[in-house]
Amino acid sequence: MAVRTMIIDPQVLRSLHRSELRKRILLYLNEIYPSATYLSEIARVVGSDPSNVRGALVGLGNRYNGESSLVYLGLVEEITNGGFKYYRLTEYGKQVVEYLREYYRYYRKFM
Amino acid sequence: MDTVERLVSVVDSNIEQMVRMAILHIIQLGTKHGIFKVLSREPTYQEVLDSVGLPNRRLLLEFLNTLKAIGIIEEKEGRLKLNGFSCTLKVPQEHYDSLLPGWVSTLEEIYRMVDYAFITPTHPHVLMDFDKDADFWDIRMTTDFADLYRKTISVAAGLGQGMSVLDLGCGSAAPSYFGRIVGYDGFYTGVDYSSAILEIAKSRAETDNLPVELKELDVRLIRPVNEYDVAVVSYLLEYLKPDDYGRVLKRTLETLKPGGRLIILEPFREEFKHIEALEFFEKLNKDFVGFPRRNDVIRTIEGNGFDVSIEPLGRSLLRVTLMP
Repeated sequence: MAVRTMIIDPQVLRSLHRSELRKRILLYLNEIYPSATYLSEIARVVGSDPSNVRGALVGLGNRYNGESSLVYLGLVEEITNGGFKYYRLTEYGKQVVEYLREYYRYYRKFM
Repeated sequence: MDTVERLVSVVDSNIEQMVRMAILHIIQLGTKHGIFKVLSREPTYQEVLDSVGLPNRRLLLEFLNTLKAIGIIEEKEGRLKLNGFSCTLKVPQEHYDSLLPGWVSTLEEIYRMVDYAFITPTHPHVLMDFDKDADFWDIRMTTDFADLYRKTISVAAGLGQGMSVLDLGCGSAAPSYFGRIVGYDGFYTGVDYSSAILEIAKSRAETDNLPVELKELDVRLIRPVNEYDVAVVSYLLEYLKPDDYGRVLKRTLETLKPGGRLIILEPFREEFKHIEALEFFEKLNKDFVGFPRRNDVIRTIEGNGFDVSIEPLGRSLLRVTLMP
């Protein structure tokens, strides 16, 4: 168990827990951390439509609220390189994944 | 090497700073909600409750009592008066390197909760319940400050491989911490009444494959059968009334082997001036009673008739050794 230096609002953790897609994206980016990957690759791995994944990452109209997107929350960073956009878990996002893992049973049972 | 004296002194410096920061936030709350403005007219309690438009009047009354306990207001002939309170915020040079950043963010979260608690104590943004908000408590228990006081307890107890530990009010992080220290030759029993907190502790201990036993139980009901080298009581007594903690400490001492140690770590109230400011925020947890007085704890232990040596260390630690 690591000593944490950053705090995340438990309300954010709980809302992430309730969103299966956001959780799957975070877990995949954690798996390949510190590498970055592109949107269609994430969509393929998590088994979802690229537009849904884009919504979860950066927000998309009314369907996905930008303010609860993974990039807006600071959990994922968007990197532009050679005209392509890549996504990578931030250090903060890595800590959130650890929390989500440790609280998995608790959230399943109590939330 | 870290000596117990040095470690306790760092714990104390951080608690001292928590209290100072809590005073600032009390003043901020009084200003933000217009409470000081009303108080400047020397009102009665009732007039404050009626003039300040906060729905949770019980918490507002608690706030006024806190102002009185700190000495920001005084009551004369039924009227409340601001009395020119002043307080110096000191950060002594020698303590600069002792201040840990982790607790600041968790206390900031709690300061924010007060605004919602002023609406209703059951507001969803108030995250202080041990079961409902076990994730927030776990975040508090995994800060650098929490890690520091666990280390302080471990050094004060002389904890090592092969020893047995009973931890009352163990929370979610201590079982893994102490379990790792005692190892497979020793054993660790943690007791906590929050099933949600224990669920997190269990998940962590299983992930690390540690030999810890966790029991969901109100510490007031413990009747331990094993004998232990060390018993730990940290940040627990403030949730118990003096009569209750007397009984709990008696049963805990009964479980110690001869020469065993009981380590109590608490911000003892006579050691930290204005600690009522910090207590105001902790009271968002409905079970919080108040930080204990060290002298009361010592008297309680002495009154139980055990042959013990009691060593106060710093301002927040008591080491009780059961004579062989």
